[in-house]
Amino acid sequence: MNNKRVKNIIEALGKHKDEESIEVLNELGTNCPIDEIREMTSKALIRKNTHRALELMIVNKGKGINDLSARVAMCAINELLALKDKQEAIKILDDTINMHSEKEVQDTARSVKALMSFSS
Amino acid sequence: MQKISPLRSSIEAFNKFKAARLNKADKAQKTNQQSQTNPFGITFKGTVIQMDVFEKAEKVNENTQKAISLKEKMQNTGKLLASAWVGTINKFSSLKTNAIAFGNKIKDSTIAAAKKIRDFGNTKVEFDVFKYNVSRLQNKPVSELRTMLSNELQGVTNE
Repeated sequence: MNNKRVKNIIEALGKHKDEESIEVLNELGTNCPIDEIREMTSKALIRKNTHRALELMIVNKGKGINDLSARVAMCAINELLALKDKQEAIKILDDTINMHSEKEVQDTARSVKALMSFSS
Repeated sequence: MQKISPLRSSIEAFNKFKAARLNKADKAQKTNQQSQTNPFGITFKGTVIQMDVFEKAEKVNENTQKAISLKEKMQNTGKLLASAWVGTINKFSSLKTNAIAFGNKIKDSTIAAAKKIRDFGNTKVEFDVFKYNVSRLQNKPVSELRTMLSNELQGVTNE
């Protein structure tokens, strides 16, 4: 696998100003069966630190912090903890804890929020 | 008993010293006279070497000396010429060897360069560094990036 090319494209999409790049990453990156690529996508989306990108990583089941692969989920959580401005992330986490239909997702969001409050 | 005054005793001591000095000077003069032919006082087993030692015991006849020197000179010239000739031969042979080595080196390097060029022509060089540079990709439209990513992911999933 030519990891370097994929990594660079995902990184470029992560830094791209066009909002459409989030949809591309969501569509192609987060649905990829390869853990490594999902991991890279999660990082790129969280680094964007926009409402849409963070929502995808926090709220969706099987993506970002709720990924079935522990490695991908941990990577996403680490990236959230590394954010300088955590305001938007905490807001989305609060909404998820209060309003999400799935208990599992709520629990994950609660744990991540606790970690974030400890780290900040 | 006569008491020796310190003045008298010192005068006596001085006289003795004077006499000893004169005696020593005489001896030195005699030695100088002896070693006049050997001004640097070169000695051999304690004996001062005289001038005649440096001279040849037998006087060589001048004519004979001239003849010998001429003969020697001729011989020396011959030797010199021979050595010069040998030196020239050596120089030429080394030049020849060097020239051959240089030629071979040029030949080898040319062959290597030609081979490299041929190989370079046959190889498809992909400048990934430039094509997939993040800052370059960032400036491309998202649609193009989507196509690129999907192509790459297709390749990756098929592997």
